[in-house]
Amino acid sequence: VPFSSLLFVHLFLPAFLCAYWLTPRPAKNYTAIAGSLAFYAWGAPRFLPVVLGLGVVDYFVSHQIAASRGTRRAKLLLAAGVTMHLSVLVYFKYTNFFISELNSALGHFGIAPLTWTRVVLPIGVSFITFEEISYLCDVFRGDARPARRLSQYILFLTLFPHSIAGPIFRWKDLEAQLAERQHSWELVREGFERFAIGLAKKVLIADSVAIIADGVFALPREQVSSQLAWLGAAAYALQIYFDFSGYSDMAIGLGKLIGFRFKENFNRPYISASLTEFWTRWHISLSSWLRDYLYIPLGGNRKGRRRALVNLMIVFALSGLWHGAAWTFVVWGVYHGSFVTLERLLGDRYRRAPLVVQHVWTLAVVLVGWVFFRAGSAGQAIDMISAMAWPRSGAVGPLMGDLAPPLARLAFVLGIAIVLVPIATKYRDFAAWRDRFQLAAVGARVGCLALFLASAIHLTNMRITPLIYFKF
Amino acid sequence: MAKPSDKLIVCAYLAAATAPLAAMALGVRDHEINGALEPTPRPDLTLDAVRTESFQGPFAAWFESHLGLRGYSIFVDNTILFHALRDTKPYSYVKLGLHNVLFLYEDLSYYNLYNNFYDPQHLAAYADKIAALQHEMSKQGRAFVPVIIPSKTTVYRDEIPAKWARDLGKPRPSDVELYGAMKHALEERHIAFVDARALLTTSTEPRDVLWAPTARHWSDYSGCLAMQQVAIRYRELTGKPLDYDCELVRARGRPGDSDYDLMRLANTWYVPHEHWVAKAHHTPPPPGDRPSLICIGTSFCWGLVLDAADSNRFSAVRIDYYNRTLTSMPGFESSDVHPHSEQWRAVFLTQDVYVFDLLETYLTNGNTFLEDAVDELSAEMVP
Repeated sequence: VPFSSLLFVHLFLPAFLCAYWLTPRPAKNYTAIAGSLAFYAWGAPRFLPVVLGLGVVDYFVSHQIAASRGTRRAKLLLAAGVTMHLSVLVYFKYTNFFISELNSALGHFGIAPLTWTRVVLPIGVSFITFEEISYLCDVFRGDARPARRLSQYILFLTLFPHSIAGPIFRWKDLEAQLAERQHSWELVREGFERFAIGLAKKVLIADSVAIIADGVFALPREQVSSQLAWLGAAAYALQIYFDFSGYSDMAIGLGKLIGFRFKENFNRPYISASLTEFWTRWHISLSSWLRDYLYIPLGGNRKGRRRALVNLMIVFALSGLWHGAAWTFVVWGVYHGSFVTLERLLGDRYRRAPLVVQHVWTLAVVLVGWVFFRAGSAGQAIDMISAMAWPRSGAVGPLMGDLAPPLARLAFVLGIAIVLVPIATKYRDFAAWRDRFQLAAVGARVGCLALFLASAIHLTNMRITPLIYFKF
Repeated sequence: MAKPSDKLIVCAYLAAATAPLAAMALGVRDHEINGALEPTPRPDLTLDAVRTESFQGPFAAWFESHLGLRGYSIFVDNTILFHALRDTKPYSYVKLGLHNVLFLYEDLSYYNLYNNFYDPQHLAAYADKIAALQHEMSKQGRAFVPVIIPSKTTVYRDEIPAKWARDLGKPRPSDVELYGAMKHALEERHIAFVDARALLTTSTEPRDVLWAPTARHWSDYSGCLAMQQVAIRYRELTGKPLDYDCELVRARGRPGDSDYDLMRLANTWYVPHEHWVAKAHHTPPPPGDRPSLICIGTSFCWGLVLDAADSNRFSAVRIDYYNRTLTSMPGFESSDVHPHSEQWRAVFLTQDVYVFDLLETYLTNGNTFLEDAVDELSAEMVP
């Protein structure tokens, strides 16, 4: 059930919250588990036993690792655990891709393709797998204790605010909260407000600018002019940010409703002045996971400059593949890796460039990168990027009423203002201004409630389109 | 110690989240949503249905379509969009033109068409069949009268905003390749037809009398003007008398009038509109035999047959709607169309006036019901 659905907002959420709040404190985790399992089962009922089974295995393996820490047995157990989780990820997420590529290669040699029943990708498998791996690694390193109760670990894995689209949690960050957490009216109020902000980002902005992005990326090649290609890329940059960060806001807000305090997953990424900075602000839970469980184990910066750059490229290529089983995602990852590598090679020379140039450069690189992420194929991505690079006029223009209706244009302008205006903070200290113009608390409260209402109303409207009826 | 304001705000969020559910459970009366919605039955809850995910989607659809207060939500959201942004919601079938003229998306698509035109050979064969049918019927004392009916985007062309108009140059491809090609094909074969498109676009009558800005279809008065031309063709083809007069009457509009159909479908409050509708008044018919009439075509036929029924100049008036449903005036009795059946022959082979609705937006490949109707009639009537 997506958070931005009528079923979630008007049925699951109120029902779950009522049940959770009415549950006595010692049993609250069990209500949270029941709600989370129901939530997950709604979207991927056949994968639920797999998640639970892996959770049970993890629980026992982690205890064995902790008991034999520092020995070869611990290493073997860790390797077995990580291999198990990666196998699950590869099977569910990449098998179709690999078989399709293999069949395509076989076809070139005139060999009959392999027959294969497509594997259905269970929701959240990429996030859950990474959380399981980090748990085992942290226990192995001694950075975390193994879960004292199986129920706590199952709740950690399936907790519904994050189970289907992150953020990627770490056991060590949540362990204490899973055992004991404070509930208060203030926290619940903050949770609702954060959820309202996230819902508005998703429903009012992301879904509205998606009209532009979807429209441009659906145009036939001959209709994509340079301006439209840039418009489409910019619209998609806004869509993916407001969609994903909105989802993360909703997850953080939902956590607060049941007493959890989750880490932030986005920190105004489009104000970055370099790709390196961008990756400290975008999908922070993934970036930090890749740093801690892939880049550093590969040797990080410790084995010389050349090896560090190779490690970077490996991390970014795999990051691309993690985002989706298609070559366009791999290209996107390698593309980002290349620019981060370039920045490292340039070092101070990059940092000496005027700040405004750094911002424009970073935005342009990110924007072009999103084309690979959004395009349906490498061919379409290249077409779009070539349209962005060289002036091209369309033979037959698209219908602007469809492509950029006023609602989408308003969301586009508003979105750009929200993501880019904070760049000003890099040029000037606005602390004094902030104090002067800070919204009164009551204004902010009412504003969030209004956003929630507006989002819920708009969501209802967007879900229902009466058909044309005839005259009589 | 919890602040009262925190409690109040939390309660407000809970109230907002649960209000639609409570309204649904309590059966609170909602604002009516205009337009046809697909039925969404509640699926049966079984373990197997959940496991195979065949329950979840239909249940969500059922929940959404039965959620309380959704009518009010839709009207509030649409009204804000309409008045603040001068637009209808994305993917709506109704689009807002200049000066509050409403268009159906389908008509705008026709206006912006630049491909999918008739194959010239196909059009020639189609026109040949129409010519043969008209000729054969004429010999039998019947009139088969094609009527080219305009799209609203033709009549209100100047009210189409730039965002809804592709830059296709002048003349627009649909004017040449569809309307122009069909008209030329009919003229080339000396087929007697009514060009209601030319009739309305060159009329000196006020445009809102011919077509309400809030309507998808032409006014009843325009239907009368077109029927007047049909009567002329009937006289030409059969030599029999048929007088048909049209006196404009501005009647007080009612919410359910067809002249407000797009306004209703927009599901928006406070759409500016006229408060009258244009109808025709008829003098009593002269004594004597009255011919029977059938209109074969789209919803635009209704403007013709209702006026024809009001005129009392026909012994029977029927509509063959999309060659699927046959409805008789004035009682609106309906039955399915089964070509070549006894019932079909009793109606379709015995009429005096056959109005054949060539709505210009449907003059594209893929809309075959009119060609089917011609084929079916030809099979029985043309030797």
